[in-house]
Amino acid sequence: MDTIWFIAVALMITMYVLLDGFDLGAGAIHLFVAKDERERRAVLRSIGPVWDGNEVWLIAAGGTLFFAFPILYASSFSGFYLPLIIVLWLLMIRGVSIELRGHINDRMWGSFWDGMFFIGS
Amino acid sequence: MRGVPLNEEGNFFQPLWTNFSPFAETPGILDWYTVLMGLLALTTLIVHGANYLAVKTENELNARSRRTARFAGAALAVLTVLGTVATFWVSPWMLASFNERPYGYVLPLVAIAGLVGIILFNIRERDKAAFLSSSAYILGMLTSTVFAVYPRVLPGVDLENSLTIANASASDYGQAVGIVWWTIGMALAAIYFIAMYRLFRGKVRVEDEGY
Repeated sequence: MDTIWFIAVALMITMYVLLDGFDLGAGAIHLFVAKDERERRAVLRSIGPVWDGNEVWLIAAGGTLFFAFPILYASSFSGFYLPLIIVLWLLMIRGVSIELRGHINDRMWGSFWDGMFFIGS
Repeated sequence: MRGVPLNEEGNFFQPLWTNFSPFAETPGILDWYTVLMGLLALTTLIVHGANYLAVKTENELNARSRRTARFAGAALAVLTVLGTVATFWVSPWMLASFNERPYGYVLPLVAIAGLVGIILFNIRERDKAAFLSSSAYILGMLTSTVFAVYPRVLPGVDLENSLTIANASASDYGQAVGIVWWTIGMALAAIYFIAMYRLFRGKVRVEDEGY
């Protein structure tokens, strides 16, 4: 039983990396690969409909970890608190930057959030 | 994989870094090994993202994505070798896991096949195959790591204090109930994801209208 859950959690983490991995990778390179406004929007549109669902795999993996191996969850999340918080904030910045980018039609606004998207990724 | 300073109760705290050596009694979160792993992860995601963009975009974006994938792919090959050697040097017990259960060797082979595919398909300009290759690479690398670490889940600097699946797990009853619900949840998630990706398949065009 333990082994089954070990495999299940490992599988979910793998799914997360496979799916959100390309969103993060696209974000990391989009400032280098997309040179003007239209191209940047194209990059954002390519990950647009799917990135949120992909990130849910992370949540699901964390939840499954909590369920199956609660002591591991407690120990690792407490001990790794600082890097975890850093990661969480970066993830939030990425999400916010994708959303807020389109809200105001100002070039500087758009560029700022592009930068934030890069840093978050 | 390098091990964290777990005490007997299974708790630990790490400063951000100590002396940057992974062999210290009290390693920090950052040392040259974990930084190397971080670089490897970043490069992996860059390759994966570049391949995805190559699949989803056309013309210039496509060309630039492919170029990025090529450079990052070369870097990835180097980092993979470095990372593997470093891992087995820092945690030799992970290599022992493979020797104890030789059927596990297939997993690193998947990763190597993925790596070869990334470079090969990039040259041949087959974007979907390149994306699948980087997926195979990630799959192979992660499953190899997990296979090597098993049955520990959080290795300690002192291996005796490691958390294993035995001492970190929930009760048998809980896990059994969970399997039923997990399967239902996974089925629902699979349907959703397949539908989503089907709905949005195809290239994204560079256009003037907004998102």
